[in-house]
Amino acid sequence: MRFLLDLTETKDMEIVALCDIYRPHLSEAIKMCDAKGIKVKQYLHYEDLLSSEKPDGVIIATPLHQHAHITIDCLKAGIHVFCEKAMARTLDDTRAMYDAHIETGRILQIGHQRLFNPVYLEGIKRIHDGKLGQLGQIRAYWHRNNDWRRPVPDKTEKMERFINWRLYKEYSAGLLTELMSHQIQVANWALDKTPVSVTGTGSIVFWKDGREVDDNVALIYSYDNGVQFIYGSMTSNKKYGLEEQIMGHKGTIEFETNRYYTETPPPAPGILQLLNDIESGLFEKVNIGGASWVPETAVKYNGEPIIENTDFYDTGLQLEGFISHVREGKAPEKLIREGYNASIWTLLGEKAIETGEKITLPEKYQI
Amino acid sequence: MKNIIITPAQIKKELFIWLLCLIAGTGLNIYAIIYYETMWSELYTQAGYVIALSFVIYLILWVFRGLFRLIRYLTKKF
Repeated sequence: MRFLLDLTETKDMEIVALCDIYRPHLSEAIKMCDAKGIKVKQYLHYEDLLSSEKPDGVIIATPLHQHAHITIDCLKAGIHVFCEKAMARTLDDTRAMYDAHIETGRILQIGHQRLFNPVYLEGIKRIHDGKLGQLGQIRAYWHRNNDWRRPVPDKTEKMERFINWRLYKEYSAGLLTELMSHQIQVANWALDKTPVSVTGTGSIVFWKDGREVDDNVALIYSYDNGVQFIYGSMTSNKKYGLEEQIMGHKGTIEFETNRYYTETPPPAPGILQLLNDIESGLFEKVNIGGASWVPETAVKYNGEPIIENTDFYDTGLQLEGFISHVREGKAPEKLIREGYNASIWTLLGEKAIETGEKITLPEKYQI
Repeated sequence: MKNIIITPAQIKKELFIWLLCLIAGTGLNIYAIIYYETMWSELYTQAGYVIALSFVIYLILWVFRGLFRLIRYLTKKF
């Protein structure tokens, strides 16, 4: 909402209406508009908005299980749609959204902001240009240490599920749809492929508070060229935070921290090597017994930034992109394909965890 | 209170000793470039380290010179 309001100042764009079934959130959004001197109409139900307004585009940021029917109704009403990731709660709904986009010819852009992030754009270009050599593995993780809950105004079961929808399987696949969907999109983009299979496991290991979604997941996606995407996420330890590590035989990219590491880092200056050797000779311990090998711990090398200037917000950039696409009446088809494949394979990951089996893509979801 | 007077000759002597340390540091840099097969541009890109190294050598020498003077003073006295 904040980014959208900022864009009204710089882009030739107008917010005409806001809609939220939850009145406190709607009031908060209206207040934000008022503070900027923007007058908007307000609706509790999107059907009322669609019958009264004719916007060029709509941004859908509802809980996951509501994405599909709202998106499809908007597309059929001739409105271009920006929908938050993941696309939908079920595989069928995800396919239905994609089909509605194809049938109506309206834009359907999914909220994968990394597709607009200059760090990612440059890094992906280097990967596709072969600067990292043959990719072997892509590792990604997103760890937090909190209960992932929002305060519930009253203590009813209904309101708990309404507010904390991310914790209940009816509405969300938890860590998979809310976090991993971003990162598998990056893996698919880096490889310019979609997986051929996924295996996984998950559990509620820490937050045994009535939630239904796992607080701890681990998955392995395999691609047809033998590359693996190895994923982990938990909500009881945040030491490693989030990262996507793209590892090739010539180098590694870590997108979230904007770093590129070559496998052959330049040697330290001679004088520093000499001083280091003298220091080692004077002070290093000589092992008389014990291990005769050196542990292969991580190489201590700080790498280099992928790009120098990181003064941007990709969330704002993706909305700017959507506004431009609406104005042009079309968006690169790659955007929806990235969103679709990320969503489908996220839900297949959930299926792999639930069944304990290796899951492949059913034919009917292939695009 | 005793005044400590540093004469121009003493300053010259100390500067000369530091210059020797700087030459020694540069010599070590040249040796390191050859030994580790790094780039000759390090002759100037690593000048900061060489200057810092020259002060370290100067300090080490200063300690040894102090010790030498102390020993000489003690042997003369006793």
